[in-house]
Amino acid sequence: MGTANLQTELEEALPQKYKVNRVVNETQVEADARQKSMPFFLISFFSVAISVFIIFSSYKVITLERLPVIGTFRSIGATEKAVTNILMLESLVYGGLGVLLGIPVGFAVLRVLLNGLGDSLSQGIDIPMIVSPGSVILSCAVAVIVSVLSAWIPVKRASRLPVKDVVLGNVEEKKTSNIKLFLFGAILLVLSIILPRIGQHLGDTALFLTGGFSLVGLLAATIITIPIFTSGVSVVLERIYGALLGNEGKLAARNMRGNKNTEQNITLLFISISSIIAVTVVCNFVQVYIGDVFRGATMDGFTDATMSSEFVEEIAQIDEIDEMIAIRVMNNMISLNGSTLSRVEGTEDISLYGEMFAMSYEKEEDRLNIESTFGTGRFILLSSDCMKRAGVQSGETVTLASGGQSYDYMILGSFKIRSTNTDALIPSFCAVDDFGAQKYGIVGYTASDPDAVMVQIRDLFGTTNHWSRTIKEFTEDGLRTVNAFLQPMQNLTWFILILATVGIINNLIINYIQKRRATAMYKSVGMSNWQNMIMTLTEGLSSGLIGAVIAMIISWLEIKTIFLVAAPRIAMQPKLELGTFLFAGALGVGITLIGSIVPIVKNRSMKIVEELKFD
Amino acid sequence: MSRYAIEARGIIKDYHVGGIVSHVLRDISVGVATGEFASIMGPSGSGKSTLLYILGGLDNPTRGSVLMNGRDIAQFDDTNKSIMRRRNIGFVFQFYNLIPNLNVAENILLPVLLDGKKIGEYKRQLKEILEVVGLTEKRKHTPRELSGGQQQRVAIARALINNPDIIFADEPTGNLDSKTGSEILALLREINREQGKTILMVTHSKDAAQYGNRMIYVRDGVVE
Repeated sequence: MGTANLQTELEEALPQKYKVNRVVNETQVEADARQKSMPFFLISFFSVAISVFIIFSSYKVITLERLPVIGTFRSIGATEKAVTNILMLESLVYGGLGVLLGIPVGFAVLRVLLNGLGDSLSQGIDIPMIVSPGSVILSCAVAVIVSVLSAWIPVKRASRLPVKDVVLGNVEEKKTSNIKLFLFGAILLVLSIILPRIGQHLGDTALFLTGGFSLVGLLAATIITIPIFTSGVSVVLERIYGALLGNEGKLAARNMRGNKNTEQNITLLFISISSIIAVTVVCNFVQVYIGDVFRGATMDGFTDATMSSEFVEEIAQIDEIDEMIAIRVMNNMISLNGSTLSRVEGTEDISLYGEMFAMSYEKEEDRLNIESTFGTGRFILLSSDCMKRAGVQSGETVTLASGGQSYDYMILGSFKIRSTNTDALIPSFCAVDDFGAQKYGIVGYTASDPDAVMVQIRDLFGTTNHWSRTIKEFTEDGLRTVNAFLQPMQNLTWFILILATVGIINNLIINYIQKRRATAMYKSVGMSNWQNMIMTLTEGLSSGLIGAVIAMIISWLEIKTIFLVAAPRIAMQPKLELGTFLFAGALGVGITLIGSIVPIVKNRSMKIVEELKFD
Repeated sequence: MSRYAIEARGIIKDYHVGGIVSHVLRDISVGVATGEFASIMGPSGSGKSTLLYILGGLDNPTRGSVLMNGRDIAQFDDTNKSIMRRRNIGFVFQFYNLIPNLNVAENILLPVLLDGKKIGEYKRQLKEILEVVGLTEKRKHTPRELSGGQQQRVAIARALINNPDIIFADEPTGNLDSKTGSEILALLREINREQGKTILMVTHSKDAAQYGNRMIYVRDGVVE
C-alpha cells in the first residue's frame, strides 16, 4: 500500500479530531540513506580501482608472455586488428566468466551477511534480500567493461608492435620522458587537491563533480608519479642501506631504480592500503555519526517527558547537577510557510543549547550575532535540511502558523545537529506566547556523576511516564543497534582487505616470475642465497614502506575530499586516527614481506642454468 | 699442485624427465691447463654447455668431481660456491645476462659489490678494463642503450673485474653478427695472451674455435 493511501485510510478510520501527518518524507529518508551508504560507494570505488589495476598489470604480463604467439600470428598474415580482436575477445571471456562466478558468489555472500545481521538484531527485524534485475545487469556490465577496458591498453600496445621485432624478440617498452610524466602527474595532483576546494564555493553540483574528479585524479596522479618518486627515494635509500647493510643493501636499493616490477608493486600496494584506510575511516565515521550522536556534546544525561515548570525547578535543585537546560518541544504543531515542521524546540539559552547538543552553525562566522540576537524577539534558526526543503534563506521572514494563528519570524541562520531531529529553534518565550507551549519536553544536564543525578530524576518521576537516560546509556543503546546494522559494511571492509591481499600476492608472483632471470644473473656472478634473502627482504621492505607512506598521504587527501563533498550534508567532521593509518601501512608492509618469503625459498633451489640458457 | 686451472674427473650428468633418464655426460675427465684458451666443440645436444656449466659451478654433476686449486667445487655449499664465482671465475654468456636496470659500470662492478668490497678501491681496475673492452665512453649507459657486441664486451669486462683464474664463455658470439663476433673473439684471445687468463669457451663454430689454442670435442656426452 502506498503512503498516500495509508494516510487517507487512517484519516477516514480515525475520529475527526485526529490529523494524520507524514512524520518523515522521502527526501529525508533519501538524505539519511545517502550518509549511510557512503562507505558502500567507497568500497565499490576502490574495488573497481584495485580490479582495474590487477587486470591491467596481469594483461601486461599476459601479452608479454604471448609475444612469440603474437609474432607467429602476425608472421602468417594476422593483421593488427585481428590480433587486437582475439586478445580483446579473450578479455571479454574473462569478464563473462567473472560474471558467471561473481553473481552467484555475490548472492551467497549477501545472504550470509544478511542472515548474520538478522541474528544480531535484538529487535528481531527481518531484513529481506532485495537484488533488483537492474543491479544484476549493472554488476554484469561493470565486470565486463572493467575487464575489457583494463585490457585495452596492453593489448593495443602488443598488437601494434612491428612484426619483425616481435618475431626476433627485440621488444622494448617505449620510454616516456620522466620530466613530462612528472609534470603531468604533479599538475594533476595539484588540481585534484585544489578543485574541490574551489568547487565548494560554486554550489552542490560543482562540488560533487570536482570531488569525483579529485578522487580519480589523486589515484591517477599518484600512479603516474610513483616511478619517479621511487627512483628518487631509491637514491637516498642506496646511501642509507649502504651504511646499514653494506653492498647488499646498496644493490637492493639500486635495483629499485627504474625497475618496472617494483614500481608496479608499490602502485598496487598504494591503491590497496589507501582503500583500506579510506574505507575504514569512513566506516568508523558513519558508525560514530549515526550511533554516537552526542559526540562532542557536553550533556551528560537527559529526560524526555512532559514536565511543568515546577517539576523542572525540582530537577534543578539536585545538588550534583552542574548545568541544566529545559526545552519546550512542539511536534507536528507548527507549519512554516504552509508545510508542517515535524519538530520545533524552544530554548532560553541558544549558546548553552549549542554546547549541550553539539550543534554547529552552517556559517560559523554568524555565531556571535546569532547568539546575541536570538533571545531578543521572534527569531528562528532552521536546520540545514529544513532550510533547503523550505527553500528559504537567512535574513528572510517566514510565517509560522499553528491553530489558526500565524506569526512572522526572521531567519537568523541554519544549523547542523545529530543529537535531535529538530527542524527549527525559536526562543522559549515565543514558544509559550505564540504557540502555548507551557510545558517542557526535554531537560538535559551536565554533572560529574551523571548516574547519581539520573537516579534522583527517576525518583522524582515516580510512576509517571518518562524516558530518561544518561548519555553513556543512550550511546551504548544506539551503538548496539547501529553496529548490528553496520555489520555488513564492516564485513565488506574485510572484503577490500582480501581483494588487496590477492592483488599484492598476485603482483608478487608476477614479480617473482619476471625476476627469476635477473636473480639467476646475480647468482651467476656470485650472489649467495643469504645475499639474495637480504636483498629480497630489503627490496620488499622498501617497496612496502614507500607504498605505505604514499598510501597514507594520498588516502588522507582522499578522505579530506570525501568529507569536503559531504560537508554540506553532515554535522561533524571525522576524527582521523593515526593508528588507522599506521595499522594499514604496517599491514601492507607485512603482506609484502610475507610475499617475499616464497621467492626467497624458491630461489634457493633455483637451477641457474635453466633460467639463463634462453633469452 | 695441479697443472690444471680446472679439472673434471669422471663427470656423469643425468637428467630425469617424465620418468626417463637422459645421460647427458658419460664419465668425462678433462683438464684445462693454466693460461690455456680451450674451446669445447660439438654438435647440438652433445653436452658441451652442460660440461661448461658444471666446470663453472653453475650446475652440479650427478657423479664425479671438479677440481679447482685442488678443491672439489662440486662439494661446495652455496656460500662457498658463490664466493668462488665472484673471486675465481668469470662467466660470459651467449645472451650477455646483464642486469637491465644497472648501468655499464655497475654491471661490471657487480661481482665486486657482491664480494663486499668498496667500489672506490676498484676505480683504477674499472678504468683499465673499460679501456680494454673499448667502452670508456659508455660507462653510464644501460644495457638497452648498447648494441649486442657492446653488451658482450660489458659481460667480458664483468668477468675480468675480480681478476679471476679462469673465464668460462658459453657461445659468446652466438648472438652476434660475424664481424662483431670476430671482434669479441679477438678480445678474448688478447685477454688470454696479454693477461694470461685461462679461457674455456663453448662454441659450435670451427672458426671461433680457431681463436683458442686447444680444442675439446664432445659428442654424445663423451670427450673424443
